[in-house]
Parts: sequence; structure tokens; C-alpha cells
Amino acid sequence: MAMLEITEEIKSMVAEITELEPELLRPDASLTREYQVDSLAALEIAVALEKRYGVSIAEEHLPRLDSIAGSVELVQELLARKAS
Amino acid sequence: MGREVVITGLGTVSCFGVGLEAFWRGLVEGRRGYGHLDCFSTAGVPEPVGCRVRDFNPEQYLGKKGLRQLDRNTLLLLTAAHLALSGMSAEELAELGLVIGTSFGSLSSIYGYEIDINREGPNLISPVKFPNTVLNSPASRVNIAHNLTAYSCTICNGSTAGLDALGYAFRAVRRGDYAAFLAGGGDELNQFIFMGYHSLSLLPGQGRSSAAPEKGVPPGEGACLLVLEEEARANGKRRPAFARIRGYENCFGEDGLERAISYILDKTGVEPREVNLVVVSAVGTRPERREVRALRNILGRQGCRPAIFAPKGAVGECYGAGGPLQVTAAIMAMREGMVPPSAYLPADYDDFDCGGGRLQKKEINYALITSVGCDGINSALLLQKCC
Amino acid sequence: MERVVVTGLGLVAPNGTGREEFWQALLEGRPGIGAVGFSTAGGRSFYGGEVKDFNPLNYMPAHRAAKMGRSSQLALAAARLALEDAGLSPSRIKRCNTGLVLGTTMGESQVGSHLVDSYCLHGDGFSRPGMMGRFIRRSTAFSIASHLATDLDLPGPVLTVPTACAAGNYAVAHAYDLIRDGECRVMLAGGVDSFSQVAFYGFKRIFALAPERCQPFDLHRKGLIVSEGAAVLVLESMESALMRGAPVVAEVLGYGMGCDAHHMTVPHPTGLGAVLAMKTAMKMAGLATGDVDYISAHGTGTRANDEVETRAIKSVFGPLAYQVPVSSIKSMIGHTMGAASAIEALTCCLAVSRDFIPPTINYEEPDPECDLDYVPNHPRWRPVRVAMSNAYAFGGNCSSLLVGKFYAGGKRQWAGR
Repeated sequence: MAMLEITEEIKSMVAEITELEPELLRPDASLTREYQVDSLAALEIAVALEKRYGVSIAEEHLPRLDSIAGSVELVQELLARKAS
Repeated sequence: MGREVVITGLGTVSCFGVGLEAFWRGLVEGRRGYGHLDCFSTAGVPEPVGCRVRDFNPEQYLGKKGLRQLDRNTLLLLTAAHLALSGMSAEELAELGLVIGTSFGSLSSIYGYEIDINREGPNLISPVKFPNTVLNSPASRVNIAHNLTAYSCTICNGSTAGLDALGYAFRAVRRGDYAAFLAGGGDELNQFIFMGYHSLSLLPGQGRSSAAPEKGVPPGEGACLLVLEEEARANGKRRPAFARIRGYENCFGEDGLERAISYILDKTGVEPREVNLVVVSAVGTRPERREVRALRNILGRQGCRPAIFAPKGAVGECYGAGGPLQVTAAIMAMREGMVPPSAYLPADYDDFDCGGGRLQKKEINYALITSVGCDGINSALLLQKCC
Repeated sequence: MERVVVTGLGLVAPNGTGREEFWQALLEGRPGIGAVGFSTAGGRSFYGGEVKDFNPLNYMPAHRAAKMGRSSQLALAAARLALEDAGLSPSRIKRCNTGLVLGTTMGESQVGSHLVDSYCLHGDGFSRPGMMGRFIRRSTAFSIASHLATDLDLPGPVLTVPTACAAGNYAVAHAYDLIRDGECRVMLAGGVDSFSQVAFYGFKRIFALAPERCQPFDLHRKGLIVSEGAAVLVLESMESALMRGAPVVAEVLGYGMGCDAHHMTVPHPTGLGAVLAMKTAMKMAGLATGDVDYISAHGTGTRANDEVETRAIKSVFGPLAYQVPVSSIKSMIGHTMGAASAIEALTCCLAVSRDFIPPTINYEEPDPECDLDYVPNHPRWRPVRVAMSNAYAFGGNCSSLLVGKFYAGGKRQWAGR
């Protein structure tokens, strides 16, 4: 899957969970610090990613989900690992 | 003897709509608030009816944000709290206690979570929905929404839960532990409760030998929260009081309601003949025999014939909201000097003044509110008119 | 107002049934945690604190047991043990307007789970006549208290307080209120929960579940352990207890509540609700921080709770915080949810009556954020006049309960030490 496509998908997932406008979400911004996203919503994002991409996200991965860019990177890594 | 406790705020959400006026208008007009249910699957039920809050739009009261993850039960309660607390200052909110009564509370969230565990697998369940599964979740959301830090309690007591929450708050204020409390209850009507009601043959017309099919009380939903306050404090703030709570008791067992009512009368010194309105919980099921017997033994035997009003025929069996809605109806009857017609009242209550299905003008000084639960719990509360 | 004393203790815990067996377990620091037999929908096995070899028929006839879920059975067992301990006869129970306040988190969740399994997996949950309604009725939290009131023939007020993991404290607090108000002379107060797959998977999902053991306040703590159990205390007006010559275990001195009003699962960073609860409790009891000789911590073993609770204790006790022993028996029995604070209240009664402080086991490496005296790994014998029991819950419901050594002459006799 292309990176751009994944980015757009994740952005809209994050926007839906956090109830933020997708246009306002900058990919590199920290969700918890800049948008005050709640810790449970951050976990919800992890579950949404697991469901959508069929990957398994461990507790130590969670800090990387704090930005959209980080989530995209993690998902790509996990997908690549799954494929190999 | 403790402080006097008055009611100074009301927040009501019923099948007649959001707000006190809609509720009272529905009662005065003698309407029955039930309708055909199409919001969840009722497969196998020939005539699925219930008293759902129609066109309920919580966003109108609560804003758009943060509602996505909340269950209906919580949204109903948050709306009632919004109404009851309007105009209160931040300082007042900071010392306000909270107690909410519920019968099924988070049932749909708990079952929903169980279903997700089964269907989606335990690895894909939602972390955000997990806290909805605890029964104190709706109350805690009210604490969070209004920054109520003083006290948070939930009471899960079947049909008497809402009245028990009011009694709990009444005692805390009377004792002087808290100056004011937000108290009441709520329950939602969902598929599980409806199908449970149906499977126990409790829907109108099902399995009732004495009642015609159009009689009986369908399940309902709603939320009703009241502000209880120390009377001297309310007077000091020039806040008008709707009514004064004089007593409350909860007793278990077959003769529990009789004991509860006589304890209240003994402790307050109010004579049975002074009670001129009883708002009963009549829904046409077995536990009601306790209610009928208690009223006969305590009021009837003394030759008292108070007016009887049964609001559940109009708004349905709303469980946690039921008791507080009864109290609200009694308050309005006192203020307006009239008793609405009961949309449904079994013949067992005919020893008393049932109003013959018409709106009656009546001066009311003391109103007794009774509630009986299917599991043997009974509660009663006595209201006095505030001059 | 009436003074309120504790005259009976009953419990069914993962590491012991009944007062003395549990006491022995506390003395030895014996854990009750292991792989549990409880089966979950995902087929996953868990470590938890299970009440093993529990036979309901020791406490109730078969036809009653058949009508109840496991939570009701555990609670009824604890209540019967408590009544026996208090030596209360059925006629006295009647005369004293005895009631019950019961706390729980998940209620009869196994009954609900069974219904959902049947509905989801076989699709027949709704079709069999009466089944749905009976199951829903039996799965409600309030059915537990109703079963107990029926079986014990209680005449008084019956209330269920489902304030999650602080429910036991709420129950004891309200029973205390009813007695000091003069509404009842005797009250049963307690808490119960049986295993629930919602709790196992839910806590796992939010990364709050420890894999094998619970290590409160340790640097490497990994979370809580889900457990089950029940505890019931008999509370009585002092007058009633002395008149019938009942042995008094302890006195309930007061309680306090507070609410974070912050977040459903994350504690307020400064411990707002916890601080308010501790301060309110001490104000109600008329005590100063120097009077408290032991704090039974909520101490779940999660990163957030233990850190914030430590902070809250320091903010209330100031420099004294470093002198008062703080321990968590959840290190031994895990988190029994609705029963937890009832079991801990019972533990505090034992602590003040026997001058003993239970340990925090599995404590290996200090956490710089948690730097109090957690009574690591070994119990301590030392005078305990007043014990404070903290319990916190989802939704930020915080509670503190104070129990003290009983002196018939006056509650503050020990104050002139």
C-alpha cells in the first residue's frame, strides 16, 4: 500500500476517534501535547490500526502512535515484517 | 433533629420530551407516552411498544464534542444534569454532592463488550468503551462534565433505585455533611431490557388476567435529577424551593413498605389524614400487592382517602428514573394545586380517591411517594409543600 | 450521634476463608494468585486470585444456590460467616432493623456473560420463553443484595452501591451513616465480585494487567491482577454491642469521599479526589495526621495509581508521610474489585485489634516516585490505634475510611499518649 494512501487513511481514522477536523491535523504534531488527545483515545487509535491493517501493536510501540507520521511509519514497518 | 431539606432544582427527561414543562403537560393531558419501537430489533414480538424518549438530541444541550463514546443512559443523565444545574455558580458546584440511582445502568455497555469479545475477539475490543462497563460510569461522567468533585455515588437498586438515591442525598444534607446534592436516577430502554420485559410477559396485555390489552405499563426510559439543598442555605441565596423532603425510609420484605411508611409518619409526627396525595408506582405486576396492602393498612384503616396518582402508565416503567419522576409529579401537583389523571391504575387502588380519570383540583400539603421493587426492596418518601 | 463499632468479620478471599484463615495468610504473607480455572471467550488463560474449592452448599441449601450467580454465593458465604462471628441471632437481626449495603463492580457478570455467549454463539438467547428476562434479572448487580436479604431475613434498608473498585468503602460508610443517624442498630456492609471476562480483557486492553504477579509500589510493577472474593462486616451501634456483651473488634471513626472529576481511568495528576477523601475522613473523625498509624493503600500495582496515591499521601501527611507505614494487600490477593475495599476494611479492623501491619509482598526495587515505607515483604507488629483504608475507582471515585482501636470510655482515650 502506498504511503500517501496509508497517511490519508490514518489521518481520517485519527480524526474520527479524536473528533478533530482532519484538515487541522498536522502529520508530525504530537496528539497528546498539541491536541490534548486523551490516553484512552490514543489506545483506541491502536485498536483501529490493528483492525484495519491486521497487525499487532505492543505496549512498547504506543509512544510512536503519538503522531500521524509515527503511526504511518509503524504500520509500514509492521506490514513489512508481516510480509517477510 | 438535623437540618430541613428542600428541593431547589429539577432536570427531567421523559418520553414526553426534555424538560419539566413537557413532562407535566403530558401528565395533565392524560397522554400515554408509548409508541412503536423501531430503534432496535424486536424480532418475535407482535406489538413492540415502549416509552422511548423520541427525537432525543443530546447535542442540543451538551454540545457536539465527546459524546461519541457515551451510551444512551449516560446521555439522558447528562441532559437531566444540564437542566437541573443551570444557573449554579462554580463555587456551588464545587460543594455539590452527586448520587445517581439506576436499575440496569451500564447493562447495554457490559453486554455490548461481551458481544465484542465474542465476535471481534478479545484483542480487538475497544479501550474507550471499557470504562463504560462499570455501573458508576454515568455518574462519573456527570462529575466530569460539571466538575463536581465533592462526592460521587451510584445506587443500583432495581425499581426503587431513584427514590433511594434521593433518600441517600436527603440524609447526607439533613445530617449536615453536605450543603447540597444533585440526586435522582436514570435508565435507558434498550434491546436487552425490552426483550427481557417481553420474555417475562410484562408487556401490556401479556399474561395479565385482570387487564385489558390496552392497559398495563410498557417499559420506558428517562432521567430525572433533583437538587436537594439545606433550607436555610436556599433561603439565604433567595432560591425558591419546590418542596420540602420530610422523611424517607427503605425496608426489605413483604411488609417492608408498611414499615417504611409508618416509620416516616412516626418520626415526622405527620398524621395519616394529613397525607392528601400518594404518588404510587403501580405498573400492574405482582410486587404491587405490597403497595396496595401498605396503603390500605396505614391510610385506609384510619379512614383516609388521599388522592392517588400513578404516572407510570403515562411515562412507562423507567426504573432508575421512575422514583424521581414520581417525586417530580408530586411537586408539580403541589405547586399547581391539581392532580393529573392516571393513565393506568389497577382497580386495587379503588379504596382511595383515584380521580375517575379526570384532572382534579386539589390543595396538597403532604405527598407520599412509594416505590416497590420486584426483588423485595420497598421505599417511601414524604414531601411537604413549601409556603 | 451514635458511635459505631464492628462486631463481626466474614470473608471469602483467594488466600483464605473466614477471619482466622485469612489472618494466618496475612501473617505469612501468603499469596493467593495463580493460573485460574475460569474460562474466557477468547480461550486465553489468566493469572488471577481465585477462591478455590468454594462450595456454596456449606452456606446455603442447593435450591437457593441454584438460583444465584457466583457473586451472590460468595457474598452470602461472607455474610453468614460475619453473622456467626458477631453471634447475632435471627431474632436480634429482626429487632435491630438490620439492613445491608453491598458494593460491587461487575455484579453478577458471569450470569450476563453466559447470556451473551448463548445469544452470540448459538443465537438462541432471546427465543426461549422467560430465559432472557430471568437471566437479566439474575445478572443485575442488585440481585445479589436481594438474595442476601431474602436468605438472611433482613428487615431493614437494602442498598447496592456499584461504585466500582471503591464500592466496599462506600458500603461501610453508608452503613456507618445509617447507624450513627439512629436509623438502624445493626448493619451488614461489604463487597463482592466474581471473575469477569470483561475485567480480564478490559484491563489487558488498556495495558493495566500484570502477567503473573502484583507488585505495588515496586519500580518494575506491571499492573494489577484480577481476583474475586467477598467480605462482609457487621456494624453495630456501640450501645447495642455493649448491651449484648458482643466482642468489639474495632470502631468506625469516619470516612471521606472525593471525586477527581477528571478522567474515567486516569487518576488526577495531583490526586485531587484522593487528597479530598483523606482530609474529609480525618475531619469527620476529628483526627490529625499524627493519629494514623497505618495506611492500607489502594495500591493496585499499576504505574499511575501507585505514583499518584503516594503523591496524595505526601500532600496530606506532609513530612509525617515517611513515618506512617503504607501497605497494599493486593500484592497478596490481587484486585478483588468490588470486594477489595471491604476486604481491606476488614484487614484494618484486624490491624487495630491485633496491633499488626500486613506487608506489601513482591517488593523488590524501590521506585524513586514511590518513596514511602511500604512494609516490604514482612509483616510488622506494632501498636496501631487508627488505620486508614484508601480505595479508588474508575471515574475518579475516591474514598478513605478510618477505623480505630475500640475504647468503651471514649474514642479519643489513646490521644493523650
